[in-house]
Amino acid sequence: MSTPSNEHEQTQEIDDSTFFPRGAIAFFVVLILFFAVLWFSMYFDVLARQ
Amino acid sequence: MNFDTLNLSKSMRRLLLLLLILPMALLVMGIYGGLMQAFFRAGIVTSDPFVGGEYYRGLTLHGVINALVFTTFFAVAFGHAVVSKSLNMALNERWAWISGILMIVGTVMTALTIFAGVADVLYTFYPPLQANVFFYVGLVLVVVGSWIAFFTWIPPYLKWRKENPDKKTPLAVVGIFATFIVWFIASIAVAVEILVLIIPWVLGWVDGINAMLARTLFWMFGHPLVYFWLLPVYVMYYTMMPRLAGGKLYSDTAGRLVFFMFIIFSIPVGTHHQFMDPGISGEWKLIQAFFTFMVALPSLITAFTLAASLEYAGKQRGGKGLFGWMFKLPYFDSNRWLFAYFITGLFLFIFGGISGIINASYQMNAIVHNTAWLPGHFHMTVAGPVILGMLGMSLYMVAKLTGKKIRMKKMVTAVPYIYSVGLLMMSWGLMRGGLQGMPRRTNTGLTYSNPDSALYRADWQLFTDVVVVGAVIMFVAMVIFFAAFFLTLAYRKAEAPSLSFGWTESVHESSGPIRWLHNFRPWVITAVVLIAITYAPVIYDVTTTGYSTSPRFGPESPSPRLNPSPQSEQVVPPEVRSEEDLDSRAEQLPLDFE
Amino acid sequence: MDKSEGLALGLSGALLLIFFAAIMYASTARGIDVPKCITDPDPFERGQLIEHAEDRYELQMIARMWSFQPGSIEIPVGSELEIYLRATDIIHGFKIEGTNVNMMAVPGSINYQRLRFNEPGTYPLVCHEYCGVGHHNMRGEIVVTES
Repeated sequence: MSTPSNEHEQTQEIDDSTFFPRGAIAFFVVLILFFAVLWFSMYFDVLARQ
Repeated sequence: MNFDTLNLSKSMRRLLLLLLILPMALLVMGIYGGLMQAFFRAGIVTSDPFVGGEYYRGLTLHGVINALVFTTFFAVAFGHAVVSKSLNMALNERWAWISGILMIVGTVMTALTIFAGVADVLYTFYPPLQANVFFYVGLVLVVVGSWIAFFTWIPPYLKWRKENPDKKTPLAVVGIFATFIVWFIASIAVAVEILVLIIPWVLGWVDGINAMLARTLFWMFGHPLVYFWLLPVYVMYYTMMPRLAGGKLYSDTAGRLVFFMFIIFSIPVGTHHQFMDPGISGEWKLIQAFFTFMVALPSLITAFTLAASLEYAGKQRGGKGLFGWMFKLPYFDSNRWLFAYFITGLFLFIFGGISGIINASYQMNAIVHNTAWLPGHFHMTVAGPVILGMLGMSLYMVAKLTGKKIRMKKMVTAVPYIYSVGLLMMSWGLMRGGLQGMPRRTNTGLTYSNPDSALYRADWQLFTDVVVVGAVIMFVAMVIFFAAFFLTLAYRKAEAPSLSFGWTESVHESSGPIRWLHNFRPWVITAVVLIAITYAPVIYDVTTTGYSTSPRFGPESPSPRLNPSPQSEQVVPPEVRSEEDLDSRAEQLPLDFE
Repeated sequence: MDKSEGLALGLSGALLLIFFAAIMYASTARGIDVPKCITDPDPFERGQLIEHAEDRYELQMIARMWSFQPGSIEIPVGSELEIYLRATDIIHGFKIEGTNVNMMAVPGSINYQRLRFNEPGTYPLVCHEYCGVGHHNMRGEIVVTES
């Protein structure tokens, strides 16, 4: 997949040493909360059925 | 010496093409089988030209082709390509061909027994339900063939290791070796189950089989099997997707750590498929539940590392702010069509992942075990990210290996999105239905979804119908993909065939090799120790608490098959029933026999 | 391992730890458990419902190719039911809808679970493990009466 066409993108060079994945952290926090909500909704269903 | 200078020999290219095209042809049958599953379950269809009215034969075909054959062939073909290209080492072609032929012979053998209707035992083939002996021999040949493929990679790796003492092993090779180390250790369990327990029992050399022991050995293999499916796609996510998206892998070290964690945590977890089984005490189930949580860690780390890599790519392409990068990724760029196969898989795996954690959560398994929730779950893991990654990579490799131009590129880019829409609908229907008690592996079309049956469940009807709609959409997407795949092959060669992978660089690259992430040996030893600790008590339980072993049974008759010949079975009059027994049978619900 | 990876690992670990703690709570404090291992199984030959006391019953359930035996039982609401499950031929499944009872019937072993019915009504039970051509017919029910 060497990118055949190098069509123009507004590339802004990122300085690797200072790149901190703030967006990925935010996404991951949302993901973890989403997992917790789904898991506990099932968990309380189990507790209710007892 | 940069990457990818080695050109695969003509014979190697031909072998890889065979290992990619043959399973793709079989997959056409497997995907058609999937559509039939949805139609049979909704009662739209009650028989089809290939399996007649035998829903469970169709399910066996769907499971064996899609989940065992297609995935194993792809892993071997992808492994050959990745190992030889990233190490720039030629492989031993004789043994590579021997491995390929063994796998093909085994597949044909198993497929014939299924089509002949003497192997309606599903892809988990739980004894005491028995299939024709060649069903098992075929599976063993496929597994042994894949072992030989793995063994052909070890000498070149060791040679490369000697020639490059200071260089780190390429991440892709670490991933492929982790995959096949897990596969090799785990498939020993199913080889023991088949060779020691099942085949002597099927051939009549032994009269009884310990069903719990066979089942435990199967699931000691069954869960690592899902990592054998998943890890090749993780190799693509880590070493190809970031560059394809226009960025870099956030952390190469995280990738190595993830693959090594899978080596130690993939196998001591299989009992989470047996939470509801008798014969295994709660403590050992709880320990394996704990290790199943541990094996969720590498996937969570992967979710973060890939998100960071995609953020890097998104920002590189002008994404601003916290989530702006998400909208700058090349979702519909047909020049980077393979990215669509990766990103849709990642999205689906969010739902596949959390439903997997729910399945493994000890008592919570009681709500979902063997209900339709399970096919809902694993269609968002193996039939989601795994199959999408494998389909995309198969098309890419076949085009490069033949030097042909990929046809219908715009449609090819759209396929994963159409597929995902259908898959989300199907999984929603299966999972909601499952939570209401709808069972899996059941021809509901004849009873629970059949308005004329006494067992009809009107409240499940919506779910089966949504499953049908979702399955049709998935089928349409796959028809488009197959058209593009075989059309690409049909056209004449456009350029000299040469396979090359666009390897990704990484943002964080530790300089020299890291001491504890350097070689496989300590991790393999840890894995074996963990397996011994978690499985010794389980094996002890299932071998000591059983009160009897079981004779052979076929799916067509409640009477055991007494003589060993695989085909014919002797109808034994059911044991004499006491009067009272017959009364209780009378008050049961009317049964719908065809 | 930089700060962001540390944070991600920490979050994941915390999430899984909370899940595992919740499991331990359900098991210890609420007595919700996976089926136990019966170390001294006595393979009963006939399926039957035994009344031990006014609100305590024992169900010896036989699962065989393609029916549950007894196929339908009746117990008063509020009573506690101990279920011993035995398969006489191949592997069957056993799930009581709407409850936490979900067991595999594996020949050679006996499975055990206990529950209390607080709501009257008909609880269907279904075989959810493929057991041959008649598998989709295999169903029973537990009728919980008012009294």
